[in-house]
Amino acid sequence: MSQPNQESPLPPHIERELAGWDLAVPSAEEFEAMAEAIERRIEGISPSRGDDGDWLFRSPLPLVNGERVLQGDEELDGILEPVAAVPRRQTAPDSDHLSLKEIAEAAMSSVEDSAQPAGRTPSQFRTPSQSGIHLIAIAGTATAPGESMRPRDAKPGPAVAKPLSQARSNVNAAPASTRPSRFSRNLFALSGALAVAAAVALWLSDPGSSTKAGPANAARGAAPTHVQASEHTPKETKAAPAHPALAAPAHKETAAKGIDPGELPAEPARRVTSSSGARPASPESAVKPETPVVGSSPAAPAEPRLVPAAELASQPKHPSLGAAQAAVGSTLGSARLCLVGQLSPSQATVNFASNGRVASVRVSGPAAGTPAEECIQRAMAPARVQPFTDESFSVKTTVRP
Amino acid sequence: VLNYASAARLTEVSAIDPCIAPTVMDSSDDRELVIAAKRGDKRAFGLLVRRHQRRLYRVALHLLRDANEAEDVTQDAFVRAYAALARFDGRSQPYTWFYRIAVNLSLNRLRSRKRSQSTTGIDDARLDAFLADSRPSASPHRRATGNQLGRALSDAVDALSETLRTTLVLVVMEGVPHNEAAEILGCPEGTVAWRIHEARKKIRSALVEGGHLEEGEQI
Repeated sequence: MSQPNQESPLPPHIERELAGWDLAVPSAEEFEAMAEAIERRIEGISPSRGDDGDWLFRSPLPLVNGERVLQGDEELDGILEPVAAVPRRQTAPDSDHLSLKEIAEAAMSSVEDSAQPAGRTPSQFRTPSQSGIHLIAIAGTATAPGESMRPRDAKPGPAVAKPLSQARSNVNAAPASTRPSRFSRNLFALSGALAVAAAVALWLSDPGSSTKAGPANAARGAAPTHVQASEHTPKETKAAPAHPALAAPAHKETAAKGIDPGELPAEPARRVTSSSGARPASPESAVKPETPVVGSSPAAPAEPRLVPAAELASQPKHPSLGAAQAAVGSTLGSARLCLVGQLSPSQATVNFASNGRVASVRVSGPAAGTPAEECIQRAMAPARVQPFTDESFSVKTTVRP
Repeated sequence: VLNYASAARLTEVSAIDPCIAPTVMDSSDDRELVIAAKRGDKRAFGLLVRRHQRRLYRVALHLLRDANEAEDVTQDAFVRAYAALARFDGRSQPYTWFYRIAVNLSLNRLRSRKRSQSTTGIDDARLDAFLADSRPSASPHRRATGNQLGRALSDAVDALSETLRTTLVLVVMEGVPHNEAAEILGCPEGTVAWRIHEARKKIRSALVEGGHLEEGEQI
């Protein structure tokens, strides 16, 4: 890990001053008097949950959009680059702003866009946008100039909505501060390329479901079958492909594996708007019964998994808590988007099935019973752990706005 | 030293038979003390207070720059922690939980105070360390530069955002390890490292701007 400490921008004598900043603290007697005062104050109190609200015990400064998380192999120059934040939702109406659906359609149309001007460099597609930058960047970087991303033998689907040029002209209006870093651009480009490749492959292998719909729906079809068996409404299914622009940062791992963006939460802006007015009367106490998520629909029971005995013997009894927390943590970024506009955190209990996939997500707290609940469930559905022999394994986490 | 699991078992046993309730010793683990305090053992909580009040006070003083307010926050943090001990689930070190409460209280005071960042003055409690070099035995140059540098550093730290400053105080000034700072602040460990790096960059810029550091001074 490139430790920033090792390459501190400060000279050693300043570092020493900071680290050895001696404060004039009270004497031992004064501290003892303070401790006695505290003991007097707690005299009539019995330990319970206290009268204070959650704010006092909540994380004071959780990770916010725009902050970096340094990874082990990240180079220091990556730290110094502009931050690639999860694109934020615009608060004011913007006529130039593309809707998520338009962005998705534009991105998909770029797959078909064999008439892309020769000599256009990928960087020309990296014009910032509030939501569309990643998909546009995918279109620009995953395809060499003048070269189509479509396999040679793939049949083009019907024409899709907007030409990319129109999308570009719209996204140009966004401020430069939302421009993602080189690292994230490359990551999204790679993720997008893999997702599109998977979509096209599935489209080719399943003509019955995709010849009518074209690549846009083929991308949705690229999801594992358990997604198709879920209880998504048609509206949600339609909106789902548009989401990577928002949820991709937290889903880079799943996207890289070709998992369908439809597993990600649908457009948060709409959900938040609708959820803000639909809170239960007592949000803190509202705990909805565990709701099955993708892959656990009663209408489509999962087939019993046949596992070789040798493999079974090598499987752990249950995943390590750290691995499960890490898997859940990788989805927290997109889950948080579901709570945009809310003030209080909600709790989610993710239940993993023995195949390592998420069997169910139970949401409690303010988000329970609101559209944000389903959004969180969808956001956390892509979490994966190593298969294990126990029936299930649950991890509890807090989703903060 | 008993670990948390064995301490918890001991608590279960003692709940059944009070005769074998563990005795709280000065050498008891923090978690054992919390378990005892949850049962209403105020002496156990008193031990926790004495163990950790200094560090809480220092953090509060760094954030609030006022000795009286720092003392208030320290006391409040412990009193509220005791009242809400049932909330402590034992997954983290008790002192990180105390830290979190103290940081929340301090930030709350700061926000309600709405003080501008330029209020650092001669009565800034944090400057005492630098002013200590004003003693006659120190050279005039050291006294002058120490005082100026202290003010400049204070100003640079004050100019940081709440997030960067709190992280800097915890990690750099108080020596809290990154993983525990991440636990206190509720963010990934990598973010703590990033915040520290950002804070250092900003402090450097401020010192260069103020003429306390040369642009190309050796790092």
